[in-house]
Amino acid sequence: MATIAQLKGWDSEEVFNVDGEILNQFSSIKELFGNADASNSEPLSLPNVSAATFQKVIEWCKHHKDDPSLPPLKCNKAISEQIKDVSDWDREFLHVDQKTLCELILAAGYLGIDGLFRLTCKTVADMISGTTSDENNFQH
Amino acid sequence: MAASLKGIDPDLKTYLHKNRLPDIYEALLTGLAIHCPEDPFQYMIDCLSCVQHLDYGILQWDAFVMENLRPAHKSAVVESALAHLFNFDDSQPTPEMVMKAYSHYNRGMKKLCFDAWMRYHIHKRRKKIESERKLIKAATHYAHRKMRLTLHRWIVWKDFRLGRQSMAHNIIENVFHKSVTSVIFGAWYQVTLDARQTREYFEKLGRGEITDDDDPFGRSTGEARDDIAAMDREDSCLIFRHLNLIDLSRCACVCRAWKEITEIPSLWRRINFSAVQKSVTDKIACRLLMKSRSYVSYLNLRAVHSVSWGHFQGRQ
Repeated sequence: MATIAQLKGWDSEEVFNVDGEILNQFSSIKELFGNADASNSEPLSLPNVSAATFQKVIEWCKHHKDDPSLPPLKCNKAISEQIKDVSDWDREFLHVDQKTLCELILAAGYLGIDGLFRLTCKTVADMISGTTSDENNFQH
Repeated sequence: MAASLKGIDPDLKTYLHKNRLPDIYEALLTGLAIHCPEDPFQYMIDCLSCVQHLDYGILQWDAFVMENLRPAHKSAVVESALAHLFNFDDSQPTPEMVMKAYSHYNRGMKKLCFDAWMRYHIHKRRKKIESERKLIKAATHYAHRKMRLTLHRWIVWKDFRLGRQSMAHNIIENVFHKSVTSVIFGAWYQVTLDARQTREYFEKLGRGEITDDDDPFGRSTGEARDDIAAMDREDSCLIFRHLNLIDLSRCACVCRAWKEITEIPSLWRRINFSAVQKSVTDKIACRLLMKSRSYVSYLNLRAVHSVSWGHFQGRQ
């Protein structure tokens, strides 16, 4: 599919060409582009996402492009019932340092990628659980 | 008759005794009383003529009584009643007899006097001993009385002193309590003031009126570098929703920003005590439920044996 959006991180001039399938997963910014061919327009700078993080995001989105859309989270149901277990690929993908992980969360939240956002949140929660408050403070 | 004869002339007495006239009269009277003759005067004449021939010495009171009428057992009475009556034995005492009698009398009197004096002396001594005994007793009694009185006074004094002491103790205690209360109250007031200032400070901080630049503690809290705290509340809430109650409680201890995140109501719509059943106590359950009572819509108490139903009943 053709590139319909040109995006770049805030810290670098490197331009990422994003095709429609991946852009559809960016629920919060996909409306900005619509169906118009944006290949000639200026690349859009993402204020909260660094180039390295955006690279990771696109990698994840490519792997998960065939996933069905997730139902919205409900507060009255247990979170563990609504979010599935982490797959091996995801676990490997998220085997990064804390700074990167937090940037991934911010990016996923900003771009509106529900799947990545839930996955990273769960990963962080798993890291928090079972530690003492002092250790948590040290980590963050 | 005896009285009249007592004081008669001693010569007349001697005469009567010498002629044994009382014996003759007695014998005559006895004979008259026994025989009761028809002619008493003739009988008396016969008897008297008999007496003229007899010796005075053998005239008995029953001399004129017939042999067969005399009593079988003669009494030992020798002296006739009349002789006794006339007291013929009392011959005039000789000066020796008088002296003897006087000395006897004197001795008797002396003995009497001595006896009486002796009795008096013994009585006096006894009385003295008695009085000494009584004196000792009285002294003892007096001492006892004095002791009792002193003791009584001492007890009264002691009661008075004790009363005073307890009164003083009460006053001191009162003053102590008041001072302690005032100290506690002052300290409490200070603590309240501090708490209010702290709360106001944190409220200002929460409203963003105070930036980290004028941090009064002179050190950075490091919250600016906290990525989770820097996220949107909704986003960080999603992370915390994965955590169970124990982890959530620990996260609340990490820093102020995290504590604010853990107080988001949507985290408390579901309370699952079952996942942390071993750590739940009545106190914790009560506190959490009291805190989140306006949000909670799902409560899981499965296999939580450490919470007793009675505790909740008591809270209502």
